[in-house]
Amino acid sequence: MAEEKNLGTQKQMFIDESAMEMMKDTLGNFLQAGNVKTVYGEPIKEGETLIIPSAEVFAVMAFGAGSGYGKGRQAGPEERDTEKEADTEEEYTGEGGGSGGGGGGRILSRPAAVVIVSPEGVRVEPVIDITKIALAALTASGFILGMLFRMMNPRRALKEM
Amino acid sequence: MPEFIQSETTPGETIKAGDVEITPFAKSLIIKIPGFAGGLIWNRPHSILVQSADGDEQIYPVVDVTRQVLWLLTGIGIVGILSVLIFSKRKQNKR
Repeated sequence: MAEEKNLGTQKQMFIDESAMEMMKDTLGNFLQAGNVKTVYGEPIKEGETLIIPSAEVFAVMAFGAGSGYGKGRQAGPEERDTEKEADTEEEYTGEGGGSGGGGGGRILSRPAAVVIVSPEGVRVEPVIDITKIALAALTASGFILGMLFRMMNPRRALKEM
Repeated sequence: MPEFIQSETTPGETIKAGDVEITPFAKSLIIKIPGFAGGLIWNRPHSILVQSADGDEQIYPVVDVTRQVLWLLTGIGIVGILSVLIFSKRKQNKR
């Protein structure tokens, strides 16, 4: 009986360890996003000019894993549909286990600036994302205008509520 | 700074371009929540160090204009909404 228990614990430990290994590998790959190589791209040489692109990288990730192991009564063909509990410990002949895991993440990257090295000197040119700025400006002004509209017409705002 | 928050500036590989050597620097913010598998990484260009053949060293900051404008717009939005709320409360109190 004690041997069976040990076997069960060992199985569970194996499942846990393999899940943990997988998690460690994934986390290791994820931490690569914090490397300086992900921020600065490969230099591009054009004549005497060298261009180094740079980007802002934002990565977020979460995952989890779980496992379980249990023993139960091995049901005969006539008892398959009934969940009958065992009367004695010896009747617990069936065993099983399982594990599962899942996770999700996202890596966002946006060009930030370009380093230009030419015979005239070194300069850093910013990359301006007009679309993103325009969207943010529209959202901010929309909120402010919406609030102003409610303030100017409090009765109408109350009716709407 | 708490242990689960790490902020560091790391140098990259030095690039030789003509007479100058360029070393890029990146700033990263890593948040690992204790007891939680996962985290957050924000990595961005910080500056470049330019070393000329005669030994002169110059640091050029890498300015992310888009991010600055976005923060400015967020600030304007928050201030705008707060001021509208304050004015509307004052108006209600006067009535």
